[in-house]
Amino acid sequence: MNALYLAFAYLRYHWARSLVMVLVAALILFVPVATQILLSTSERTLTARADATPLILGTKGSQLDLTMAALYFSEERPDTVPMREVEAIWDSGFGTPIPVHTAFSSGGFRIVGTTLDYFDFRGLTFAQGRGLAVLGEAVLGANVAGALGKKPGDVMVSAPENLFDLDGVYPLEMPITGVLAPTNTADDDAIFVDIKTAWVIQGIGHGHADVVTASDVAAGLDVTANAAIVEYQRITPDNIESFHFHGAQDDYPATAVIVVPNDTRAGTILRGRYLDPDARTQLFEPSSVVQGLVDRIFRIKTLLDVVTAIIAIAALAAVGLAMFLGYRLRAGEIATAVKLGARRGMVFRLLAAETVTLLLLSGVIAAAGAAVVSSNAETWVGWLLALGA
Amino acid sequence: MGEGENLTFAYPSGGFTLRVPALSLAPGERLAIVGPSGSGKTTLLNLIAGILQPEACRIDVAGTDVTALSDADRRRFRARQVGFVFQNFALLDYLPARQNILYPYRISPGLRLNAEAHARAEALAKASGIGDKLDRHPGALSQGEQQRVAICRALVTEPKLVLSDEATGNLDPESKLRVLDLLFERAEDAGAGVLAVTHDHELLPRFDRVIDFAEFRVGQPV
Repeated sequence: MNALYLAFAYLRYHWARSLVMVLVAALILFVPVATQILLSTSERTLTARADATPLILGTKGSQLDLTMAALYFSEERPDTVPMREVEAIWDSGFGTPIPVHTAFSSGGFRIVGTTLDYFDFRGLTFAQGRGLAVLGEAVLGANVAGALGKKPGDVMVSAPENLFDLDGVYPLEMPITGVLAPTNTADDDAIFVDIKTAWVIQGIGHGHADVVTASDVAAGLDVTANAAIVEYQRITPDNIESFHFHGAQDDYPATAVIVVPNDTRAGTILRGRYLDPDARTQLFEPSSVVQGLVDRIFRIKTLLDVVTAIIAIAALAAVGLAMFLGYRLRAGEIATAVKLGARRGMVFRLLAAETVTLLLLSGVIAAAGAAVVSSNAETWVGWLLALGA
Repeated sequence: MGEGENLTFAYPSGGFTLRVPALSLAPGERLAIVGPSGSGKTTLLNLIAGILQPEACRIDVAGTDVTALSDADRRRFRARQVGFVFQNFALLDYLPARQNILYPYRISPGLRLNAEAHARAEALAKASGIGDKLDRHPGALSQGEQQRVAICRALVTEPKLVLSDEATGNLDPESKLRVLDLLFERAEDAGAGVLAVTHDHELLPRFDRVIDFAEFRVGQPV
């Protein structure tokens, strides 16, 4: 007890030095543990979402780009796949195709055009409001609603793609009907709309004021030539009937298609149909793509571990040196203690008590930090993955 | 109170040998040791306190033959029976004055820190004029006040012998007289003898007896 009393008195009196040593030692303990927690959570999160997505259909090209776009709504823009491929999956009867259109954004968050099957497939639930019902509506992921301060009843406006593209993408105002419960996945950072709404943003579908038709002319109506047709930038109950699409729906684009086969056999048959090397499309398991990515990351992690270990050894040596020099500075105190009759080993016990106290405090701080990281790892990893998207 | 016979000590590295045929100190006596630097004055204090072991002799302090004790017993004996006052005070900067006085109780297994020890520390500090400064750290005390704390530390265990190694060497002329008087008063109150090493010949009249190590080195009994 006396050794602990003296050790604590020494550390308290030299609080600045003690604080630095405690913090340095805590960091040495904390950093590898926190890195390990975050990396393993990242691996789990990445692979979990990929494992939960049986197959992805897309155009030939980078499977990683397709996976990142379809699963994490990243900025990658693989060549689009026509909707006839979706119909082909429906027609096969082997599974459910869920098209995903991720070309646009609003407020810095990705607009994901999809079908209602997506919400069932991901098991998404609503924290507020309701799901998509009519053209033009939007549902927000939990992080989007939090970051933008939006709620059901508010509106979102899609970001224009190019101000100088007169034939291109115009902003569309979309009423928000619901906010999803948080899932700590990329869904939290997405704005969901019906895929038809995404096509309206793209300019494939649109609504405008009535134009004069040939029958009107034949009926003898007074016709005045006018090039200024009012095109709607918001979809309302009054103008929704005027919205229409041009061209064949089979040609409409999707970024990728998530395919949920009815069973393993159906999945195998479906994959077999896309093995033709001349085909424009491919069907693959995203889990193997993500696993390859994770394996690569973790090979780099091994290098990171070595660097961390070297830095930790250097930092420990520095702390050890600081403690040794501290003890050297206290040689006079030690000599006095011996002269006053200190028991054999008392000096060692005193120094050991100080070291143990320092390490204990460092350990408590590091453990508290690790506990905070551990309890928030999924949220932070979701945020980090979204940052990279 | 204390006596030694045929004290002989040599450091393993050689070059210095101390030989004292006889040395005695009566109870309550104030004995000063003077002599040139390197003549073995501090070595003598360390031999009496049992910090160093002589080659061959008997050192009796308060009825205990120090040379016959084991290392652990010598440490225990030193903590109980010997008080030390050092030239540089040797106070711990991280402890307040009160805890510096009680420091021997924190490091020695032979001493028990209890209410009596606390009361004794308070009484000594009060008698030494630092009763209101017990919660100050050494850095906040003057040199004279620091040496008073050191004297209180030397006497708080009620030793039979106080060994003073140039205790007033760092003090100004006025302070050193006051501190020496204080040391004598407190030692007298405690019934302890004082064996002091000093270079300061002005202080010698205040001692009962003086040993000049220059004489002592020729081997005469003292």
